Amino acid sequence: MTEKVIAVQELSKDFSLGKHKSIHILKNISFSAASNDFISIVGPSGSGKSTLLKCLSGLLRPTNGSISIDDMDPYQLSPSQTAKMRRTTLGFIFQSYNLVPALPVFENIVLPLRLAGKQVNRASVEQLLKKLNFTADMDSFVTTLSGGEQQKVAIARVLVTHAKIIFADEPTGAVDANSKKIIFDCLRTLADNGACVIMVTHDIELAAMTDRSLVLRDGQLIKRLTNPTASEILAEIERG
Amino acid sequence: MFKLIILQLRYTWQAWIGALVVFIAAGIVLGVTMIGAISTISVHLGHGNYNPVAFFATPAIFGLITLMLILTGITRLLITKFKTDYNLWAILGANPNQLALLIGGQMSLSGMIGGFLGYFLALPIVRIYYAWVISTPGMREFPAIKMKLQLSSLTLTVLILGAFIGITGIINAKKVFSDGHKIHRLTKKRSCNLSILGWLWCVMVVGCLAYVYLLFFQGSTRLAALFGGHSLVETYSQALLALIFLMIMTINAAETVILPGLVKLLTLVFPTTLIKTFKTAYWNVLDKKDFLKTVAVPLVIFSLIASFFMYMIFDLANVASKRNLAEIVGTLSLFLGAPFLIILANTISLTIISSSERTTSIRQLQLIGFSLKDLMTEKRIEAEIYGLIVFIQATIGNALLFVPILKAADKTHTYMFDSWWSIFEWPAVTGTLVFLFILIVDDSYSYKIYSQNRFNVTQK
Repeated sequence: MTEKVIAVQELSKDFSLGKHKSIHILKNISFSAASNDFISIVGPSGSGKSTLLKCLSGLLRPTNGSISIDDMDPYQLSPSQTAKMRRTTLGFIFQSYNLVPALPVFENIVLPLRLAGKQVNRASVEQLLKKLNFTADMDSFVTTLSGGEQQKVAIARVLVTHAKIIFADEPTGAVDANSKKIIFDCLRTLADNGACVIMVTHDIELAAMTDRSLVLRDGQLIKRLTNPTASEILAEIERG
Repeated sequence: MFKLIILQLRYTWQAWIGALVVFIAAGIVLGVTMIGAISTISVHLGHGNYNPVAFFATPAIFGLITLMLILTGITRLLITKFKTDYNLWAILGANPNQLALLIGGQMSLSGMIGGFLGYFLALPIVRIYYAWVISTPGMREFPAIKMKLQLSSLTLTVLILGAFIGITGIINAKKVFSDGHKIHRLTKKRSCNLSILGWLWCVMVVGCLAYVYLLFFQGSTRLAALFGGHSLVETYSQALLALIFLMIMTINAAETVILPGLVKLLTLVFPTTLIKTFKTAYWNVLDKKDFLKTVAVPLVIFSLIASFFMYMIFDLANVASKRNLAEIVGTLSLFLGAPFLIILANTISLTIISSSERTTSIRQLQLIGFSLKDLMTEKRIEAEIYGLIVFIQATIGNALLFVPILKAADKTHTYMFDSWWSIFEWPAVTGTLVFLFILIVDDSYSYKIYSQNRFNVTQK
């Protein structure tokens, strides 16, 4: 049985351009997402996709509207509660990998566990990386890895925390075709196993393999597509 | 967590070299105290009216208070320098306490290294200083003691400094990381980077300062009622001490309002239209508000305290007419030596920590067509702005301090050696110091980057 994990109501985001000017990036966006959902957010460049993902994930306070993650408003939580939510409920996979450059591969993967004071099992992390076809040394520093390998580390970090909701911003944007397939399959498996995955992407082919697509243009949610096809998504994006 | 602190420190060690300068200076100060005190205790001479332990404790007390004040700025700059990294830690679930521990832990380890190095540098200083003290008239009663290296004094220096810097770092970092989350009306930063509570605090401190200040213009009975004291001299000494504390608190509380305002006022003094790079320098200074505050505040406070001690010793206490110059220099260096060393090291540290931002700024200016001469002029104006800000603010502070000093001298029938010109002395020293230091560092960076780029272009 699926459970509603994200609810967005009338979300708007403005950025200030000086004292009396502001620019509207997101306008009155409402939708909800449940566990097992794999949702893609698509739209032309500058449509507000990444801003929406940041607002949803508690990283950027919206100007108006409400967001509920797992029945909690992330912007009303105390700093410690926010940190706990990020360690236990949320997972982040970004195009820029978001790996801590000071830490080696293994420490990057288990960082949320260490911060939560949980037990760390090296053998299970090794197994996990093997499944992801990760070939580099676990003790090497992340800055020495290729883009694909770095993204696998970021995914492994999400996997070890068993996050309920995963936010992915262009996760395949800077990787080769082979890594792209592995990463997407991973996200698909996570959704099938009960997680809610929300992915921002430019890749129409990938978006077409998700359960739902939210099409954004000029900061507005112009279309919700269920079981979308590539041609449907493309048509919506290109519609003037 | 300890492993994570070590790994983070290993990655960011180059930035910590900057902070190490100030930690070594603090290590020297604490080392002087520890070597002096432990050497005294080990030969059982730590008693009586001329107890060297109490004598050696003075630099540590003044030094650690100064260190506590300047660590706020250093912590803030180091967090800003690695803000992307720490944002990432926060996204991955580190709470403000864990982030503060991460920073404090790195600061503590660097502090221990600074303490270790400073301790060995302190040995020749304490030997020379103490030899001079016991041969100076007025201080000859201090017992002759052989200052030596001891494991106990080394361990205490390293541990005390590490713990002090670590704890101060954790407190400051916790404040910085919690600030980012503040959504409460009272604590959310508003105009001039101050929250409503910040403004209230500011008004309260200024109000207290104004109240105490105005008391100097009234009869001495009200001052005596507030500050007590067995004699008029004692009452005024205590009132002046309270005044200087309130002035320091005001500078600390209102600096985010005062400094940008002063920089903007300087546009009226400079021939802005004649100097083509003035505007760039002006915006560069305003853009680096944290650096401005961290450089200016300790120097202004130091100038104020130095002037205060000078007035107290030379004028109000009339020490100058009773004691010889060597003794006065000894007393002044005992109280001011440690703060001066640490504040000087702080300026060096801050300049090293912000070197990458300086390099980026210089490269950008060069890219848009600044010649070496333009760069040097722009950097000179920046240094002039920093120097003038310190000079003006410290002079205003001294002027405000000098009036109650004159009143106190008048009421206690004391002859003043210092005239109104004295209010410029320490501000001129500190202002010139900051001007020269920033000019030398920035010009050397500009020259280095300009030469590198010219060489690269020639190679291509």
